[in-house]
Amino acid sequence: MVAVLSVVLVLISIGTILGPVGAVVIIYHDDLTQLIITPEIRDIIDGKSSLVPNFNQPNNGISNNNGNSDLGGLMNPVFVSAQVDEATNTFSITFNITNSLSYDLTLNSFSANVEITENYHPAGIVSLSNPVTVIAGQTSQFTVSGSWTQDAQNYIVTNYPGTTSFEMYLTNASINVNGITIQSPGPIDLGIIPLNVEG
Amino acid sequence: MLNRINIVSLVAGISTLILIAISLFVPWWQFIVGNPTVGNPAIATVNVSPVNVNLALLGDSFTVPLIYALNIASALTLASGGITMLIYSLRPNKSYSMKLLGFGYKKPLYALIIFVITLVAMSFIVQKISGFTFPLIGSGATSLPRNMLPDGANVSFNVSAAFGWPFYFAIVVAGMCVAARFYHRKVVAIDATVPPQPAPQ
Repeated sequence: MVAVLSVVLVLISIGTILGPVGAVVIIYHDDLTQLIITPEIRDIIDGKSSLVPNFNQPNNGISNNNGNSDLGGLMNPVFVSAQVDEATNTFSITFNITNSLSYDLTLNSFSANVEITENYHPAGIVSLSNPVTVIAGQTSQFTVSGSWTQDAQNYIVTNYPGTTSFEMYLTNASINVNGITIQSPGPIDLGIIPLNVEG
Repeated sequence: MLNRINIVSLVAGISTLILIAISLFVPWWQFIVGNPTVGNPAIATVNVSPVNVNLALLGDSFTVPLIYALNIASALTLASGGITMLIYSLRPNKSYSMKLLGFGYKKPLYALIIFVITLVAMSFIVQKISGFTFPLIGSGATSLPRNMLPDGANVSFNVSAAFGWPFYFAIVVAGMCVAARFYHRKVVAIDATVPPQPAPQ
């Protein structure tokens, strides 16, 4: 009786562990790496996940040629409109921002320096006007305010008279999304920005 | 012979089964990334107990098959331990009782020890492999390892980690199981001193 019980208990000990583990090994026998590295983890490792910031990669980060961008892959802003106050050397740009995740995102802050790609000349600064929350799967508007320096204006008037658009990039960008602070020294390509500067 | 009950083992066996049920839903250890607010969960959470490991990233949770299998194995092992403790507690003075007790009382203790060792080892391994450091208890700001980011970039965030009350309950359960092992000697000793009942005339 005791001997039989001993055998049964040993079999239970082995079976409770080998049973479940053996089952998943059989299920994933075609590719055993999937036992640990799920497709979600694979995407993160390969940098394909939208969760991985992708600054500094060509045509990624905050970049493309129509003023649109993707903030480190988390959100997808689309240019809506811009207002310029030449008297005070300030401007504000409104974007539609789409949250492609199934998770509410709050853009708490954003700031960066703007430089003209040609000769890396400082042009001004931009920052987020107000925090914006984008509900999962929805689109919201947010406004970025900025100012350009008189030095930048003089530089453009002197060196590029009549030029109506410039390729620009951001440096020392700092974004705070849901408490996560992402800082990038840049440069982050902004693409070609329409700009009409008069002396 | 008196049909004694090892009351300590009975309570330990029931507690073990309760512990399994609780651990399915309440983690022994929780790791949170970001600042969760009402209506918006943390950016990432890791809920760990021997019977359930839940990983959630930006509201989406995913399961690692091997960990899932080990969770089931752990649940079955603990359940087998709890059930044998219960069976033993009702028949503590049979010839096979010691086998049942020896099988059952160690399971919660092993689960607890393996859980702590795994947690510490994981923290050490993650730090060594990726350079990402995180606390086992407490909160603070941390950054993604530089080698995961472009040159000069930095991603920083708040993290917090804490052991949940089921972890402390598990310590109590493991303690009760060990106590049941010692109480067995007392039960057996009492039985040995009780004179046999006279047969009815």
